[in-house]
Amino acid sequence: MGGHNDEYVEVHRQHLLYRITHWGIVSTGLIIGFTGLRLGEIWGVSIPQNYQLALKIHVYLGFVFAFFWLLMFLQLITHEWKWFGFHRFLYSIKFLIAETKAWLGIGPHVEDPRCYDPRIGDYREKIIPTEVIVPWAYILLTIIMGITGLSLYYQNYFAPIIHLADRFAPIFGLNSGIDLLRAIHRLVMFFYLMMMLVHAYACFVFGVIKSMITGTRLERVCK
Amino acid sequence: MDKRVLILISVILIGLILPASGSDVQRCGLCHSNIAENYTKSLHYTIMGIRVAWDEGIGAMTHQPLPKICMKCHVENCSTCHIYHGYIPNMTICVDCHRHNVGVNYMGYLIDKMGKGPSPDIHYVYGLNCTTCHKEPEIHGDGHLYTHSFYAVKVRCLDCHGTGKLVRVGNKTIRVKKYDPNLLPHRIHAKVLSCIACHAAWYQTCINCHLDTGKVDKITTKEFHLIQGPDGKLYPAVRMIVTFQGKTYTSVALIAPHTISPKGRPCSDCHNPNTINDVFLVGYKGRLVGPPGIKIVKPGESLKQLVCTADECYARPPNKIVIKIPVLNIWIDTEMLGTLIIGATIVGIFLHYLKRRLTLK
Repeated sequence: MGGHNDEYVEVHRQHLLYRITHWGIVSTGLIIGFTGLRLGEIWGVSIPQNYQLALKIHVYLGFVFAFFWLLMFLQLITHEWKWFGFHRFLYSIKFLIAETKAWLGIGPHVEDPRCYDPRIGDYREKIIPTEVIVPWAYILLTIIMGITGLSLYYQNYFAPIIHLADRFAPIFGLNSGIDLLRAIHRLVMFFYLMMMLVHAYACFVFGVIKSMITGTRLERVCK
Repeated sequence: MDKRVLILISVILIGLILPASGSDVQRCGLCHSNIAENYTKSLHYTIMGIRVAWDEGIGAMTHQPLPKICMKCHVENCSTCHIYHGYIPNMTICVDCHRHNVGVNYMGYLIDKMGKGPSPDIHYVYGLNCTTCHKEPEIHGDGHLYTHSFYAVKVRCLDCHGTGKLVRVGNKTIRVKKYDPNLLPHRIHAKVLSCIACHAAWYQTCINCHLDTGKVDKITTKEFHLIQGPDGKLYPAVRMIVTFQGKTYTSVALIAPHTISPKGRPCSDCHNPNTINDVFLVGYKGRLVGPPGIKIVKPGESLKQLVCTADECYARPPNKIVIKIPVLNIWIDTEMLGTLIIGATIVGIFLHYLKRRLTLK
């Protein structure tokens, strides 16, 4: 992405709490996902064999997962709003369209806009613009997964949601709101997994995995 | 002796003997005519419930008349419960007679308070006494002659739990927990199970009740059986095992245990291939005691296959969830759709990677 004559500088990109939060989400998310596949008996996953154990892990680790996401959300709005704020959504979508066109060969090459300005001691652009959507999409999916999952497990406390789902269930040919909540929980899980795969691949392509481990990255110096 | 003294003694004696010689129902009925009239038809007065149960069960097998001990249940006098005029009986009065099962079980004890049961009834814990639920027409009768308490007892769980109403208990008011039809066990079982089938936490089974001596070999609270009631729903059933002149006789009776727990029985009490036949009394050919229409039913196949605990069953998802959109005539298997999404993503990533490698070269 960067040119041959570009200069690079080592920059502290992610602080420790942010990295811990990120990997906390990744590790708990993977376990929740796997136990979720076990609970739904999806793709033949049957580990752990003890259903009760899988359910307990799935539910209780879900609270830890939600806690990490809350931490991430707070850091996004306090430290990273400049890059991940809603005001950049349109820019993000335009960039995604341009990138897609370029990849398909029907549009011009899109330059990596990320660069660090040593004179001001900050980034001019810290992220690939498409990334703006990512945490918010994750948070939205997490909320949906959380609400549907908790409603399924704590049916007494979430009765109003089940009642609401009851009204919509027949539209989808389902017998009850519980079934509808299950269907949503399951489908959103697949979208979650899709995002995780794309996210992981994008991190590899855009070379940001190291910075999420060590906190630093060689950044292109802005011209 | 003075003639007048003799007359006075005679009057006093007659005054003392007369009330004790027969039922006081007629005397009370002079003012409380409706209650008195109904009462003579009530189960407390006729003890038809016990008579019929005896005649249908053990009595029919042993060819013995109803034992005299059972006749003690016959409440002939108003004053047995209403000790003096205006006295409203408390629970002690009820339990004094109902001390073999429901009365003592309600308080968390076994027969005759000879031992503690697993737990008291939740209603007892909250301070409800017998008359909080069983109102006057049930106790005094409603004018109909019943032969089974199944029909004579009108109170239903949903009378209070259906609305979540406020109930006055002593000097405090309690809001009753409202029945939630959305709770998964309720959704699944409401049409086939009575509330007590699941919420009666335990009941006592007397093993070998010796009719001759009145002694019992053993009492257990571990047994649990279900039979179908006249309304088609399943109810708890108890094995009544008696010994008479060296022989053992067993009958099975539909019961209403007063040992209610807010948390239902664990799913595995029924959904268990190891115990399901015992719960449904598979193979039992003996006498059934209860209202006409009760019967033993065969457990469904699903009960023999599914083994789970309560929490599992509450949250257990089905393997397949198919969404149907009738308007568009589309059927979507969520797992298949998800697999397609993930498959397409992996293919997309692979293609991207491949093109990237080729472009970079």
